Amino acid sequence: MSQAMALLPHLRMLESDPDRIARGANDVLRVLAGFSPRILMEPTGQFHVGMEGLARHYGPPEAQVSHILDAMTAALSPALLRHLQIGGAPGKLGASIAAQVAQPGHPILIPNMPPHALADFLAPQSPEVLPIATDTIEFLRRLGIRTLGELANIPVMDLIRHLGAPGRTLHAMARGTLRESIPLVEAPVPIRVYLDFPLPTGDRIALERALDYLVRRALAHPERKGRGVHHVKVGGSLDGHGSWETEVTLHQPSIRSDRISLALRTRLNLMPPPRAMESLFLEIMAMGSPTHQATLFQGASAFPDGLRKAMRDLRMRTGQSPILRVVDLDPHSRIPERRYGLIPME
Amino acid sequence: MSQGEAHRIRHLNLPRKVQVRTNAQNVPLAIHGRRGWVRVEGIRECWRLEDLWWREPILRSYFLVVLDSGQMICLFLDDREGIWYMQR
Repeated sequence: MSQAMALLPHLRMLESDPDRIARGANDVLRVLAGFSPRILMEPTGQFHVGMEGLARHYGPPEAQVSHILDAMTAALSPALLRHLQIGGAPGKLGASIAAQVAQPGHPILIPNMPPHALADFLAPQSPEVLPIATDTIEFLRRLGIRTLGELANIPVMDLIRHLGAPGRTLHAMARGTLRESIPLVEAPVPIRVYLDFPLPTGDRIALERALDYLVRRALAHPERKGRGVHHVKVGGSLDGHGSWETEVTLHQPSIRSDRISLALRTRLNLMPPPRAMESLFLEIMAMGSPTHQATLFQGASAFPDGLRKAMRDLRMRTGQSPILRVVDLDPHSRIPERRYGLIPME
Repeated sequence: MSQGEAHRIRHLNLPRKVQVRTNAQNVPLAIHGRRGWVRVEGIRECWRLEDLWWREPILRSYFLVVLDSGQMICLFLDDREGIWYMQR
């Protein structure tokens, strides 16, 4: 780094801004989720949308892309749109390569027919467009293979001999016969709530209260649909530039705001933001099955009168409460008998 | 939680004493169940637990074992008492 600064005195260093990236990704996901239930986000910044069976709604592939572009233009910032590369093909790999070589604003669409259309498109492309290890790309380069067409012409057994089983996959990729579809996802768009501070704040109590507020808002989000919160990310923009974020996985999915807040407060104290924060977000990244049990047994006061009377009678007769409930004592304790306990319901 | 509530809590999954035959290295070979001795078919996992050394030290050697009957149970040897317990 110091060498770079010495060579380029006007070099401006920019801190990574994962919050900004996540906001952009979330915006894109939200638009795409309106078109298809098959969405996959890659860490590389690629989004795959499965459009199988949706031609009746959106028309042929050109019309599908046009619909998506219109929605993107309406929802995304011009800065994001400037870098948007779109590709369509039969299968995830072909679409990914088409998007890589497409210019922003000029989508590349590979049709389903004729069957060799994808192979024809792939043939002049460099092996570097394939999602394979750099070692393999270097190996192909040393063999003098410059295009996928040349790679497809190598007998598959020769590739297997040199590369083992992955050689077969590599051959199928180059020939365009590897056509993975996009899996169906239940909830592609995470629930994300924001809070902008009127003035940047680094005060722990203010941040904790803001977190509590965001937890309540996230729990009230209609998209949660009764599911318990399992994995949460919090973060935000730092004063000036850059961002901060941290993640918490709960031991069990929970719908209780106090439990989620406690986990987040603990994490906030362990990994506090380095500077004052301009804004805070909370994102529910994974949810568990609906936790009906927790809401069913909120206390004996919720029971019908008859049941409460029967409980009272039994307690008078036996001297013990007839209905107990399980409570978390120290769920993360290393000592098993200290994790959960039973207390009387009333 | 108030003092009144705290003493009404019943802990779940309390360990139960169990008779265990071991080898010289204190590795369980058989346990005594309702129908007599059952051979330990294999040990899936074992780990040590040392905790609360500042108050009431806990020293346990845990074994997750598969019995001859196919049942999988968790045993531990309390290293301070030298007594075996079963725990889920």
